[in-house]
Amino acid sequence: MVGDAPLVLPRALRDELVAHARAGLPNEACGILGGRNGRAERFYPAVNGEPSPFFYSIESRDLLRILQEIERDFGVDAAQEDVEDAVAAIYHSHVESPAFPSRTDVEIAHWPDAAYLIVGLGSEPPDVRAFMIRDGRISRREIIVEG
Amino acid sequence: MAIQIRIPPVLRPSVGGARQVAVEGATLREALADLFAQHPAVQSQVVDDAGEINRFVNVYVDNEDVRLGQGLDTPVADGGTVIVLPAMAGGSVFPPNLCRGGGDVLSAIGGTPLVELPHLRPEGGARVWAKLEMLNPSGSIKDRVALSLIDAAEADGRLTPGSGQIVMEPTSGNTGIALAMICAVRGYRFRAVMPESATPERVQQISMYGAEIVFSPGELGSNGGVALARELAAADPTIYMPFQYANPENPNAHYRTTGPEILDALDGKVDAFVAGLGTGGTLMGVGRALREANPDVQIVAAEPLQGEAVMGLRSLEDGYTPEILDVSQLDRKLLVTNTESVQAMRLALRREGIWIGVSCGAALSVALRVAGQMDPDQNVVTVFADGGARYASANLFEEREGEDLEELMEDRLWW
Repeated sequence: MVGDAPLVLPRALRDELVAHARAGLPNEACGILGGRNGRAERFYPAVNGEPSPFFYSIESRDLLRILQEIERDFGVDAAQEDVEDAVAAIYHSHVESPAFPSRTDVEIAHWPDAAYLIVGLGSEPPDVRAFMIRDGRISRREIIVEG
Repeated sequence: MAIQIRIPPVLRPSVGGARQVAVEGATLREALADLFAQHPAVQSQVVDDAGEINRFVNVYVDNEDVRLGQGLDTPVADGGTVIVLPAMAGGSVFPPNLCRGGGDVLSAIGGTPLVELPHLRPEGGARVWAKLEMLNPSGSIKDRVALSLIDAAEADGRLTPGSGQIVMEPTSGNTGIALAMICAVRGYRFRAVMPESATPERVQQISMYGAEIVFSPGELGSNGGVALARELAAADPTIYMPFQYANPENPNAHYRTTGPEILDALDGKVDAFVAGLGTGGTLMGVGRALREANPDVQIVAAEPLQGEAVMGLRSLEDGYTPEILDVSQLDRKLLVTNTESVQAMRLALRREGIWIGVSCGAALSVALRVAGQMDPDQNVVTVFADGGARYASANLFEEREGEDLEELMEDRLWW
């Protein structure tokens, strides 16, 4: 969708993601970036509950644990706010294919307010790109690497 | 006291915007049943037809994933909280056993192979790739479009599966065959409006699926079919006409599936994309997806010479421009003659072993021309929209001595 402000990603976090993606090979790696207002501040690595070179699914207990951590770390007031307000991005790696959402990514994207951040390990240096996926539509979201 | 079910933002439109819903029940099954009774729209987003929790939805009771415990039989205490969270999941290519299997034939639409055409690659030119769309269940790329048209109409309530409603579309072939298949599966009556000059194979295949055919005058071509269908639809409001020429679901189908599949197969390295200009859906949808990945990609339309209605491809000079077609999104339009198209079609058979339809010959001819102007480390992609079997009666595949292709192809409509 036009109008999404760029995602701000500190360089150190970006490097952490790429290292995590590499460490996860041969399977896809995944995790969540906590942060408010389009600014990623903290990386929460997650367990891929269905480890595969072609698939990721954040393990269900890990998902709840991380979201509860994010609520604490970012002071989400459960009475008025949603944890989604502090989920800046959902990250996963593509081990060979490009950093572009696959059909699978799009069909099961149910977090319309979070950026989907893909680390494409098929190129060197790895390609890191962000997208918004809403109602089956993909739109590129610019990343500003900071620092 | 009651049980609170926490609703994630993505599901809130289905529960009137509520962040949580109070329900009664002793088990999760009863609590969810109460939720669905209060808000029927949310049911299909949480459970499947068999009542099981959807694969990509996580449900927690007392912070435990119920799938790992007693599932729907998990007891829920009065005053307890049920958390519903969409999974965070995805992948890189479509695992064949995940979503492609298990469904009916429509789940086999898309995911076609992209093959290289090394034997036709121009010397010193770019690599040429073709997506084998004839491998879709009804035999053409239009399966993607037709499914997207019908899905969208069902989603907004204009069509109800199994209702026997009439779906009508002006189509000289592939879209008609695809819609006929989908209507057979989903329980609709399909009526195709087509020029009487369409090949017998196509007419036959549409009727075989149980569809009706209304013929429009052959000399008026596709445009005549469009005019007649509009007249018939205006006269009977119970008829649903998706009208692929103006329906954004046509390009959307390619934006969502064909384009990303091509990017997936070539690691995003696509330098030019060539397709025939029919409705414009393929060029617009695939073009948009490719451009998002690489703003420098060239989107090239293969357009027949004015007056050569033959290719079924559309010459923009001939009048009607489909509403979904935005010519400003095309980087180039290259003209192609009937003779060039048939020659390319024969080359595909003899050198690459691929039996393609006539309009694919036009796209291939242009793709080879474009590849010849590009560098060896570049990729040119085209789509083979359908197979040659649909045109067998036209006898174009084997060369005959002294043949006049232009004459042979006159008065036929190929798309």
